[in-house]
Amino acid sequence: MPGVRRASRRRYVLLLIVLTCLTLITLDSRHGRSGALGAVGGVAHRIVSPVQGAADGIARPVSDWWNGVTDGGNLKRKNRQLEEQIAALRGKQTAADQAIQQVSDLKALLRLQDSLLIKNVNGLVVDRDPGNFDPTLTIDKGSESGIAVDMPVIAPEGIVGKVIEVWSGGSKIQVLTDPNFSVGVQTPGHGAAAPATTGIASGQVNSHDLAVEFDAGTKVLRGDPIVTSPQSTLFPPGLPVGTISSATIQPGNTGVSATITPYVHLGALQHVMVLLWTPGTPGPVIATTTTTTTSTTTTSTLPGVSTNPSSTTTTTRVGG
Amino acid sequence: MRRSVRLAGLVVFVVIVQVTVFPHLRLFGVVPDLGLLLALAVGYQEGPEAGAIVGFAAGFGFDLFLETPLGLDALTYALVGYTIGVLESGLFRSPRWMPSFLGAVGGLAGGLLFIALGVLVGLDAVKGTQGLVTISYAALYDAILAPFVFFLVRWVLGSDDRVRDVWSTR
Repeated sequence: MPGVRRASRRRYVLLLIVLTCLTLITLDSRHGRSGALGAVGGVAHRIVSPVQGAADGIARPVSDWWNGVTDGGNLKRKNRQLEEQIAALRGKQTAADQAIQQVSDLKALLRLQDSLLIKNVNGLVVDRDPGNFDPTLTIDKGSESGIAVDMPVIAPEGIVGKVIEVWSGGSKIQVLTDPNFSVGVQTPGHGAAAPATTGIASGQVNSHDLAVEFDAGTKVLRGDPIVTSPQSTLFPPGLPVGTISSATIQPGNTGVSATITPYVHLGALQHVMVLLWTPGTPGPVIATTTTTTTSTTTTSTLPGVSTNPSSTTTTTRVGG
Repeated sequence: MRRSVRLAGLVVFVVIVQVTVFPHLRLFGVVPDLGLLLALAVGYQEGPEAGAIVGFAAGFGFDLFLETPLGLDALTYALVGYTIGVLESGLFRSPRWMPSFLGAVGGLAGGLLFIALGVLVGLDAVKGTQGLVTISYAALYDAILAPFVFFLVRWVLGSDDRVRDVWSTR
């Protein structure tokens, strides 16, 4: 009899666990990490954040060595550096082209744009992809720096993703290659006959490229630079996204399917910038920004970016 | 100290190591499932009920740090821990290679279960053949680490004698 009772108890325990898990999955899927679930997650992150920072400092050299053992050592490191340089150059070139094109169009708005300000926070990437099916980055700046959910995250090369979770001392970023990530994008246009067109780009399963569909008749060429669109509710317009890697006309000429190779190399990111910009509020309208210092005024692709990986909050003046 | 308290400490330790250390120590680009290995080891040594409870706790702890739906890893680990506990009762002896074997098989089974549950809840990231490749590499990594986790569980629990059926009363 005791054996039967124990077996029955086991089954009740398993049933209870399964029902609890199904409830959690349902709540999480419907309401996200808000309320009590979000609070529990925030507490867990706050507890682990100091350990994460310390582990990152200790583990980085070990990680480099480990990658050397498992992935071919110097070759991979050099390759990563070169990819990072290429991506940075592409981003700069795109933004410069965009600047030249847009300066003439937006000259009339220059004074208005010049008065717009966007604060931003530089963050150090302390963790990435904790699981095997979880394309996220964790940075060391959180609610104490003014970061909130849905704020855009960028790097010198282009957009990185958006903030999906914030706690004191850290934030989690959903990267742009996540299949659940979408962003409004715009083509450069090819003359008056083929003007710039907008579409929604999304991450794809098992791919580092983004998929996007444009209206029928849109002209896109391999290598075309793609930027965030003025209709984007998530990102300020004009930020570099990537280049067109392939484009095909859909059957029946109902549209154009294209893939975008992002400028950012997510695996090599060490620092990112969170724009303290809430979707839907007034913000910069073009990619080119003017950073005013006490002595000089310089023009750069993205606001005050990343050559300075410091953790201070800076203010960027947005203009034409 | 009560075994359940020691096990709770072990669960916390494993979750912290999983989310802070192993993202830096990837093998073929994947991380191992330490929580799953813990559920396997506890289920193997302490029985299905303990395996399920520890699997749930470790999976829930890991879920807090993931973007995937909360409870998905908890359910996977709990079911695998329970199953190993049930299957273990049919074994008469425990060869030395058993932890690695269980790590590989359990890791593969857990990965497949995760993918199946992920597809059911609409998780896009697990779809496609790359998901199968990922869990295969993860299972290999699990097999390598399993002897260490099994040893750790034996060491924390303090004895080799099987206490499977009275675990919950201790």
